[in-house]
Amino acid sequence: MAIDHSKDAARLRAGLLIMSLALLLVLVLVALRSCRTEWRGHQTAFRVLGAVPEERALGIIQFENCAKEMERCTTCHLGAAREDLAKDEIPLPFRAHPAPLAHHVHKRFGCSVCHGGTPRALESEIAHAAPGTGRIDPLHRQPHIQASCARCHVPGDQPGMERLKKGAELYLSLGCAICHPLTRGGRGGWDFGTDLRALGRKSLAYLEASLVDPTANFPQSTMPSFATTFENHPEALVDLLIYLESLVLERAEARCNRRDRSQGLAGVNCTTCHSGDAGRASGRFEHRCPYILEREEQLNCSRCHPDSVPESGEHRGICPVVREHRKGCNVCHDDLPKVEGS
Amino acid sequence: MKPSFFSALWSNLKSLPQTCRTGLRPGGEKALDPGRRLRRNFVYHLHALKVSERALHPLTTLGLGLITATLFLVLIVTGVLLMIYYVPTPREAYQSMQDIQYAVAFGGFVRALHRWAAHGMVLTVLLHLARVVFTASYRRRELNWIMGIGLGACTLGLAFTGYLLPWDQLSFWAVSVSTAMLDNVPLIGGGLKSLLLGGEIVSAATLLRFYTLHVALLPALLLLLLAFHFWRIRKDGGLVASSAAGEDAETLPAWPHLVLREAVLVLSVLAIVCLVSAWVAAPLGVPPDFHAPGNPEKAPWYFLWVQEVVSYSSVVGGFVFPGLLLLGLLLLPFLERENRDAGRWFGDRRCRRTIVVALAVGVLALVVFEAFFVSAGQTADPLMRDLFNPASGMLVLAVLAFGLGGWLTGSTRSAFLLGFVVMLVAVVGFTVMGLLRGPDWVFYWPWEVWPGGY
Repeated sequence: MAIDHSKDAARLRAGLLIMSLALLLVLVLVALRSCRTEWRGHQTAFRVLGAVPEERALGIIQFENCAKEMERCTTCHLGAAREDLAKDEIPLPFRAHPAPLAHHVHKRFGCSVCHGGTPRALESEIAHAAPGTGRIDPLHRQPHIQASCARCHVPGDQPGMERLKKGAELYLSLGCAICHPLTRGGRGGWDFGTDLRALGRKSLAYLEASLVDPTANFPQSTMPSFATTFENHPEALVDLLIYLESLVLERAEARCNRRDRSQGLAGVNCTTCHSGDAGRASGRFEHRCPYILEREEQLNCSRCHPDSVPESGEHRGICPVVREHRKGCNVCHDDLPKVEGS
Repeated sequence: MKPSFFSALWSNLKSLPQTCRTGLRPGGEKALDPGRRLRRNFVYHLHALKVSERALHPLTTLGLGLITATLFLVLIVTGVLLMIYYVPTPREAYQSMQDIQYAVAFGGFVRALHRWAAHGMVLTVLLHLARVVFTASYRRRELNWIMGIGLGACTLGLAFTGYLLPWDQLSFWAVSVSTAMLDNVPLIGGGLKSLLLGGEIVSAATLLRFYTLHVALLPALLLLLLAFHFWRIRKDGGLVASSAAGEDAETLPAWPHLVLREAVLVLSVLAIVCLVSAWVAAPLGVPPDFHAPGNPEKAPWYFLWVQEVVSYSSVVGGFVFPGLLLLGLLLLPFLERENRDAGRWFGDRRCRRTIVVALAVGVLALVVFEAFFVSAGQTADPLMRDLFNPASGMLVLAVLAFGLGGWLTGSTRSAFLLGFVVMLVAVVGFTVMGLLRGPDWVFYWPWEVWPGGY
């Protein structure tokens, strides 16, 4: 197996040259692929359209919305906040938002607070999907977008979240909260069911299957089927699904304006603490302690929740943030241990 | 000022091209005699002046050590680039990963390079270890063998600490699962886990610890060990010499025959890993849900065999089986000191026959243990569970193969090969089974759809 010295050296040098060229070629291909991005194409198309971009020098356009999430949606949706582009002949990525955004001005709220998706991404396939999945985010479609309202608002009478409110009422009137009380530890009530506080992460198909046939996703389930309940009320099923979709643990941070906070807890859903027995929590929130329930008229909230409930002013009467839960029990029960967890 | 200053400056300036050629290439001075010139070249820190033809053959080592080192180089470069954007706090870790993946120029490519090179490096380190065992290259190199085990451990540690950093659902729960397996190690297990996690569960402290280990401590340790590993190989005379007479007689100068071969290999590895990374993006999962693990949550693939055997019983699976495997590996060069078959794959014909036998028996035993032990081990009695753990069966078989095989053949080499092959079959087999696990830790074929989920 004697190797010819000079032939071997020549072969090696040729091999080295070929491999260097191959590596160079691969790197050039990588560079070309990285430069040809979808958003650059959109920005060129926007210029061709004759529309003048607001930002003088385009590129990646980003800003932080009220939930402190970085958004890059307007890198492609260049006309989203421009009334002069609210025409049907303007092609889709550039058309202005169809409905007027009276309170939710784009500059502060951005897109993803309501529309979901992965706002940091720049490829439409990823940006329009639920974070980290290839699954297109169902929150994009009406009426499921109402689930986003619960990021900041407690389901209530504000216009635009009618179906979410109906869903929340169904959750209580159908008795869901008996087994799935949505309390802080995920446990409480009769404590049969699983913790549903992060249920919104599941897909719509998963949620619907779980209601119609609970054993479909969880073979050992003892939950009754709600197929007959919804048989003639497909609308009601959708309402409940919207509420279930709104159950996500991480909510918008409490950095929105004060009015939003007074209309509901930014950051914490009230049902997180106040689920009550089935049906009782709809409309208003009630204590479970019989002593408090009997003397409801005499006791005012701030006696048990000092520093939490403002007695006057804009937030009067509505519990904005019960920071130290059950701290007030000690007002009557001296022998109770101090603040057990939450 | 004397005029000689300017004339000296001028003449030095004129000879600048010449001095650049000689001064920047210390080995290139023509005045030196050729022998000395060669020895001053940096290449000869790594290689002997002459190498045998056998060492040049690609099948002798498969270039696994060099591939591993190349991938480590790729990991250092891409890792430093990723550090520019990555923030190791729970709030920002996942967000910064999204930024790197989606918005930073070439971010997705660099991240994919880092990810695939890391998986590749773990694989080639393990293959390198198997190569050294099968070619009996550990002999008379006890220190370097231990260093090699240390390098392997560092590689696994780096891969594992890096696994947490994306802070997505997969990484959070995979690390939770893997660190929970430490509870099975008696005495120090619990303490080690708290030290690693900075608490009882994976938290902000864990992320910072893993980050520090990943970017500073472990790479520094690995670099030190690597330099020592290379230096020891050079001092021990390169590859292990063949014990067959005359096989290493034909030699060639290391330059260009060895060095250029290595250069071609390095470039090929770079080209392949770049090509793969350009087309296959590194996955980034959903943000972590600290309350709801997925079903199933698995450890990274290189720890999956441990998780698989722990799922049968904790003491044997989490401590005895991996512990004895490590102990056996550490003792190998001290207990196996024969003189035949060095540097040859699988040794002589007799050795090869024993390997085939061990392979057949190992696979058969694994299937049998899986079929009968698993149902027998479904009891609450921990002793029974440990006894009927397929890993216990494979361990007993490996010890039997080691003892019986050694006694029959009268050779420590055969004994260690038998034991090693049985353990290798077990580890690979358990990894494959771990990969086939689906929801509720039930087996599913790759083409079967898992029920439930999203």
